Amino acid sequence: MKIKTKNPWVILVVVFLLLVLLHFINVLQPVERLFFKAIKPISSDLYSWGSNISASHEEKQEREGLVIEIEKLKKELASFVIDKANYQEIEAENKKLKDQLEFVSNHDFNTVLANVVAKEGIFSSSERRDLIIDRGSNSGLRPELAVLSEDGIVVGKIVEVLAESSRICLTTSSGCQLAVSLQNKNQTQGLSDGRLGLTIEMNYIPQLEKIDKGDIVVTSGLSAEIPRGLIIGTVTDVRSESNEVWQSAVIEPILNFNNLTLVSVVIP
Amino acid sequence: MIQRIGKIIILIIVAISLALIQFSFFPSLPGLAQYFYPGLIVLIFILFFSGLKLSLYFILIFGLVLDILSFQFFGIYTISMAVAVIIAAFILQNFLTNKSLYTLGATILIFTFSYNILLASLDFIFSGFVGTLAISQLSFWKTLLYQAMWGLLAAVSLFHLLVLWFNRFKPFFLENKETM
Repeated sequence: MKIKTKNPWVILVVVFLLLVLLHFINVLQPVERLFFKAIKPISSDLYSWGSNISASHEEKQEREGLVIEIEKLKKELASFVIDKANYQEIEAENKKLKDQLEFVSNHDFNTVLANVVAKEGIFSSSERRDLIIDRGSNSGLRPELAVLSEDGIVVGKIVEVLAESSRICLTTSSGCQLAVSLQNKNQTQGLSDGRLGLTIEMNYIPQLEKIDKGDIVVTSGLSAEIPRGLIIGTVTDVRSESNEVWQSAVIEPILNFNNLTLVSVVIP
Repeated sequence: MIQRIGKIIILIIVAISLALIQFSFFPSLPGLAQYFYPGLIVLIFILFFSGLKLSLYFILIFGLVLDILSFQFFGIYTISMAVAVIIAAFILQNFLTNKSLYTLGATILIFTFSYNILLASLDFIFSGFVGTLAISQLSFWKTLLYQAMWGLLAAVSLFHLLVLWFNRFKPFFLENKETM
């Protein structure tokens, strides 16, 4: 029996179903990979342009606040100079101790550089969207790896990986959790989770732990895929209720995540 | 034949370019600009001025590019757009028969509403009914409102451009017709 049909609707549906089928049995993967490789530079440039526009828009808005900020920072700088001298001394001592105990160096991990090509998230605002980078499993990436900014600050972690791309959740996005610790006397540990795409909350901190505003928050190393000591942000507020088992801290990220165009993924 | 192949190539280039712009450029912009979806606006214009057949061919390329680039369930964009455009075409054919600015505006609103409802529902279904349905969240209605607003703005702009264009050339064509 011969099937004679030139109905465009039938052709369209058949072509679409065939493509979906080929995608799920991975036959389409080489074509998808090739396509992604071909459009990678264009996507990266488009994202950079958008990001630059966004940055200049923010810059314009923040210019007024900057003058006041500069004055404040000048005063802070004076006190930091004194602190720096103390820290240098401590750092030298720390280095000696690390060598003696044969600790692994802070940079004893590989990093893979990647360009941000898009922000994705159905029905979410710009701040809450996940980032898409142009590196995937072919570059050795896998879920749960930490992602750093150019300055070495943790911006998020990988949640999903394809052959040539990966999806990153930002530390400020709800549900993006990391095992963290404070750089205080007790090395207080907890779990960080994003809040509204703006700040980070550190939870599960025992009531007896003393937390101060300004404490630096770093990765605790409890997660197998994320090395310890990577900077996340600083504590700006502490929420403690006497009738609660745990207390929490609000962490301010050091970096503005809106203008990220280049990131590095840490492979331990 | 060559003309037809040329048209297909143009359609493919336009669809891929719009998909890339929609995927990478606009979401990184600040404020309301991040809710501008040029591909969807072009799709409604294709449906309004050319018909359902060409708009479905456009979706097949445009939607698939988005599906390949995206981390959502494969096919979610293509299915949502195709069903929404069929709904809009049905209403356009049976209820909004004259081609005016109001009809175009209504088509944009119907398409935007159907597309977003479908996208949210399919996303919820394909994610295994995990989490909350986006329709119950404020961000969904915000996206819908801004998308519709951009669509209507594009429709008004296009109509004014067309009016300007035809007013400019109408006397010339009329004059030519009279002298003939």
